Amino acid sequence: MSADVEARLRETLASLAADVEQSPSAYRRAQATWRRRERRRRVLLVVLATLVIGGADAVGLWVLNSGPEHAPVVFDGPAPVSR
Amino acid sequence: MGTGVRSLRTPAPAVAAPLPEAALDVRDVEREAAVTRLFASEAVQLQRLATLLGAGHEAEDLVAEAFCDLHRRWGKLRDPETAPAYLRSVVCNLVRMRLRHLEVVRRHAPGAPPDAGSAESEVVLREDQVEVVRALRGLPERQREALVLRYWMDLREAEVATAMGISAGSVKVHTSRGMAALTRALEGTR
Repeated sequence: MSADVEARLRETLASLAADVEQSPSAYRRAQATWRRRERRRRVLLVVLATLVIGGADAVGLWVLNSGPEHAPVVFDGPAPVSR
Repeated sequence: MGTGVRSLRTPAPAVAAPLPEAALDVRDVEREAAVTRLFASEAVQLQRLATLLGAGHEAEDLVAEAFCDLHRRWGKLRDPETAPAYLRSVVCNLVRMRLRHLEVVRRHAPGAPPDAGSAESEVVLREDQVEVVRALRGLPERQREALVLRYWMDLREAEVATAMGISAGSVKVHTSRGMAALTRALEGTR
């Protein structure tokens, strides 16, 4: 009985599957989709990188700009005496 | 093995279009060529699998989605030879998600007509085959999946387990329960 059911199952599934056909444009549409998504991913990556770098630059400039106007940047001790 | 894990080194199919983007680097070109070869060798079989699992008219879109997913994750694939198995598992997941979505839609709209996209609605089948299809549709989705992968794709238990994302032991359970339920349902129709 089990072998009979198995044979009927195989035959039915094969009949159903045999009727399925791919449309001629299937590949073109799938390729267009994966290329579009890849492009979008790259654009998004570039935008994110630009935002992060731009943000870091802006913060750096703001910190430098918010210090005292005539304060020495590196050395804040007295100037060495020349002999 | 029915469809089998085919080599990725098969000759380029007729559908392979020249790559227009000059900006694509070598790795992109290789990936594009490999996915194209896979599409030519696996897409029809995957579409049939999706249809048998209940994807109906969306089978082609689900297969395209699976290839997009493969294209995105190509670099993370440990071995290109595993790509057909990966595609099978993605298709199974997508069909499962689609069936669950339809189930939710039906639950919230009781008057909604049943899915008209099922494969058997368009295929002329013999009376005994219609009984098998009806019995199959009555099975839980996991059992139906296991039976289709085992008896139509002729996959080994380990391959079915990979496609379904479960253990080989669970595949055995689903297959035997599915066959038992199918046998009971078919005996009831006699």
